[in-house]
Amino acid sequence: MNLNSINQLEWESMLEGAINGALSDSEAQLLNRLLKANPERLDDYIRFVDMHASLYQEPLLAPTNMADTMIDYQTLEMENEQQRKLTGFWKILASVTTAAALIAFSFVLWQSMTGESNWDYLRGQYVGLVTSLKANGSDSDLYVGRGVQTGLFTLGSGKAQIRLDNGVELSMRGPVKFEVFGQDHLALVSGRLTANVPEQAIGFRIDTPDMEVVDLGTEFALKVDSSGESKLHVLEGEVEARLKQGLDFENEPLIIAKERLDDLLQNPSYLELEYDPISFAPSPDRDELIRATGGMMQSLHEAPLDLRNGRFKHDYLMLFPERLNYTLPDELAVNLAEPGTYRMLTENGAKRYYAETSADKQACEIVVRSTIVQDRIPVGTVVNSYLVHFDAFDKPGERHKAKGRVRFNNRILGVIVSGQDLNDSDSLLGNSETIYENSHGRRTENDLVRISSDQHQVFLNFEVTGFIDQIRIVVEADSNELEIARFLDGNE
Amino acid sequence: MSSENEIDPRSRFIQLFMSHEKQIYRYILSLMPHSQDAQDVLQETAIALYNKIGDYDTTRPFAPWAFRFAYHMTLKHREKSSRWHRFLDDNLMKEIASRQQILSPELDQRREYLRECLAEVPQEKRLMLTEYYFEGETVDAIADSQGKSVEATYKALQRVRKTLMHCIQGKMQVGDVIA
Repeated sequence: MNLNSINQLEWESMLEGAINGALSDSEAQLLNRLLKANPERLDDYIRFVDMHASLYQEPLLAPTNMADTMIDYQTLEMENEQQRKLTGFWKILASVTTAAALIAFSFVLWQSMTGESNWDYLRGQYVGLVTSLKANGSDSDLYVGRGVQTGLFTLGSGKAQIRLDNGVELSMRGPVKFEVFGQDHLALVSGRLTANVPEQAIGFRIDTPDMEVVDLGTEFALKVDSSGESKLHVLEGEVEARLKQGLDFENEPLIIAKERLDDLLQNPSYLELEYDPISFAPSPDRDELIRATGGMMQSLHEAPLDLRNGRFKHDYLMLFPERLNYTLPDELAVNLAEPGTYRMLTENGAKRYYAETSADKQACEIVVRSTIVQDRIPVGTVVNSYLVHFDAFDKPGERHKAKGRVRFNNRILGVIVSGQDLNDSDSLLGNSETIYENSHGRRTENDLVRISSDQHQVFLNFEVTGFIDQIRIVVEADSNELEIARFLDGNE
Repeated sequence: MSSENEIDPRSRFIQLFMSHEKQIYRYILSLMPHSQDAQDVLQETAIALYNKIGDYDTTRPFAPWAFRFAYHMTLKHREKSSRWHRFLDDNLMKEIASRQQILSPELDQRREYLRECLAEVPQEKRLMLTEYYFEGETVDAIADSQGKSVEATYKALQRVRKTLMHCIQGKMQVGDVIA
């Protein structure tokens, strides 16, 4: 189309298409060309989009003064907390000399040779969670939802997956043995391990007996055979790798990029160009239905088998799928369904809340009893059910807090928070192999649950004293939103 | 020795970010004019700025420093989305970012006129804008609540925006004449 032949109506329609995300490829290209060719159109576009943005912020459109911020500062605080831990680790790591790191690694080798295991973790900071396990039961200490701390980690047989706090996903095939130094640094002693490293964790490092691999934004697979010889395959992106010679490094690190393997002058001996999914660990599974989690919320790929009180010893809010694509055989009552910030209070909690909470804060929250029923999801609706579980076993009698959020690709239909309704819905929406805590004590009390205005995100601020808290989130399954999300993420 | 009056870097960040949040959001939306995506980029920008607040030179204005982060976060977000990847290319994004700064005084004026123009919008239309812009309702949901077709609701929103643009433009021209 001739750029000069665009009339005002077509131009306005194009601008509307841009803000509605409704431009076809050819229309988007045309807009690109128009904006480049015509400075007046460019200014018009900026004026129009600026007005559109300003309408989101215009107090005249807001019934209250709550439109002041779009940022979830509480979540921001939590994410920064995690980041600060990460930064702290790097500072410590930077102060450790290469020789010291090698001594540490020698200790691991010594442990592996003597067969000594510290699988019974020393108390300390958790750096991740076991998110998936397909094993035959030989690793009795290993289970889905188990916290991962620094120390030796072993898997005798089968497959498992771990997510570290910095978002690194580790997939392993037993037998495998590795030492966790922190969320940024592991030493693979023997076996097969594949790591998917997100952007925020670039610099993640794995040592093996004869080499060092530092991630530069990638997914890579490593295996170490019984003689201590390592093999590397880069599945995506690039890594920096180098061989060790005794206590020293043989040469300068080599950057190995999946897309530029032909640039290598000589293939290093440790590099396997062909990926054999059996001889390496598989690529880690992704959460396709969950767009993001934040704060202390960590999503598991499968439900833990035992959810009774006191089973878990870490501070994570665990989120996991229970039933997917399940057609409701009956109407389902849900306690919360409408967007809003809900404060679930007991009678005593309510007295304290009103006495201690500012009027401004009260104005932003809706105080409810957990037994409220806001909606009934009709029979025949196809749903996905997720449970959020927060345990406090390790700190009996102490008030214990955790905040987190989850954003689903699909719309949230309702949230179940009452103990009775959680108990009643276990048989319907729960995982058939999981033992649940059939008690009213699992209800949320004096906690905060926020459902976002687009009904895709839940924010939680949980507080427990000696007993678990749980909520069940019911999400629409029969929706094309997932496909749209995949399309938008380029994962078609 | 730290003074009691010394502001904690995180508190300083929240103060600075909150006072510039709307400006940063508008900047992002000009590069990626879809509200939900722009909000995601805004949140990611806030996290990135929060982590780097120690590097901020307090003798310089906050907005340009924040815009640089917002620009890169938008690029990062765009890389993940085939839709936005096709929408504006790198050179055009740079051009828009630069041009937006030049137009900044005019845009400030236009926002003042926007409020005046909004006050003239009939109650029924303003309610529709509230549902769309403040409550985050989809066009489908608004159409449903008003008993109209989705297409008619899109058109209605388009007409209101067009009216507002004309109203603002009219006030700008009068302003120019008076000036």
